[in-house]
Amino acid sequence: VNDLVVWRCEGCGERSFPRRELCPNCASDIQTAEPQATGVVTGITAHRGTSIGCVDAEGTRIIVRLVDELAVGETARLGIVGNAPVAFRP
Amino acid sequence: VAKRCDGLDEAVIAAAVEVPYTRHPPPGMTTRRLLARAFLDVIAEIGLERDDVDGLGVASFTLAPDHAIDLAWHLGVRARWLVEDPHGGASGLNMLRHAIRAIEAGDATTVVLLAGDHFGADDFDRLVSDFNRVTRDHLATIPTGGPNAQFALLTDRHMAATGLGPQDYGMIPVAQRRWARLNAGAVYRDELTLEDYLSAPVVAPPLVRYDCVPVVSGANAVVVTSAARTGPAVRVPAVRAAFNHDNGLGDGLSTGLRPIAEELWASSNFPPESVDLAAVYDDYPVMALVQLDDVGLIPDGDLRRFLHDRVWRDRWPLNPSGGQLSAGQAGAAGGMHGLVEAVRQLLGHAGERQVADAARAVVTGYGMVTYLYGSCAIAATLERRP
Repeated sequence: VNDLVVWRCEGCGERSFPRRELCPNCASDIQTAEPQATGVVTGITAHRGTSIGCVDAEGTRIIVRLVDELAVGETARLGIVGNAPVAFRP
Repeated sequence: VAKRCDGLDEAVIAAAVEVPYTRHPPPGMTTRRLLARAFLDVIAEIGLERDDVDGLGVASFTLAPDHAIDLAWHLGVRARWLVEDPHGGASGLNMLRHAIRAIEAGDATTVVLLAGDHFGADDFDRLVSDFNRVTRDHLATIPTGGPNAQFALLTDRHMAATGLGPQDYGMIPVAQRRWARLNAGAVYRDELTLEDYLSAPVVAPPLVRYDCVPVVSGANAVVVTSAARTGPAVRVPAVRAAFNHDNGLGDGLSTGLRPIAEELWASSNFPPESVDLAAVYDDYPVMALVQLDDVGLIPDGDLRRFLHDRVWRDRWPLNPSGGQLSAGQAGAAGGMHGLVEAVRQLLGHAGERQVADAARAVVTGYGMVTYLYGSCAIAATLERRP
């Protein structure tokens, strides 16, 4: 499991996922990767056998595969498996 | 004709057609062939010859690697105006706006706009997993398997925000199915009840089968000409669009239609309550409802009452073709389907499902999921020329 990273703008501190070319807030083009260890599950669905969730990672919404059973409101551990953003039980 | 600030009075829509949508097209079907059929049908509708056409626009996900110029070559159209629009659910109205401006500017006199897709065996899965780079890198890897997952999550957020439930959202596909039963061109015409909806197989909770558009092959076309042309025609009092209006930083529960609605109606010189029908982009029931609200058709904002009274009890003509939910979504043709239905209604060409005395309509386009939800929104008002 690799770190899931969000992108912090060097200009204003705005955090983005996925990375954008220009900061949505201040239009700076300089962003640095910042590991994001956890997020709060805000929504859950599933499609063709894959559990899918939306997590709020300190204000950044990320769509993830739910590896473990998680409930809305729970804090999940985040990571990258293969190239997929995933969430585990802490 | 007085030219208002919009300047949209110099051009009109003179014809609109749909090449019948099919779930299982015959062997040998191609996107190009569907678009050619749409071209021939739409010019025949008003007795044009191919050489009368001097502008061509096309929207298609599966035309690649061909482009508009390749299509012009195949069709034998000599164009002095050529446009290609990749913006799916917004493409039909976006091309319409460009075409009107082109005619006003004298760049073309007779424009045919085409939209269509044929999906072979793996084409649809390829389209949704390679929809854009963000999808390829961050969603297909999960795999989300197309937009159902995002719109399931969005529907869930909408439920939490509004208190609506499946019995409310279900009124959209079920009411539209009543209309589809009158449309020989709809791929789903069997009776559908609310009970059927509520017990339907789950696709991506809370979405069930009838919340998701059936993928079909098909095409649509319109002719935009100078208003000087005589004969039945539909005016386009206003078109307004908002692309990436919130930079994707919102929750997707409102669209770019919300900030443009006031201008749209002010430029139209008629109010939303005066339209006789609406064709909104119904990729999912929740988005149809959000667009109806955003564009100003639910003035008191009471979504439940609108669904129960207007859509269900009064059978108000919301997507009277049956919408994409019953008629089918033929890829980029979904962005022209509602426009074609509204034009045919206003021209009195809607057959069994004809809305009596239909004189005004509003059409919306929505879509192109950038990450969490659609980033394109566009709306046009239409009026039958007296």
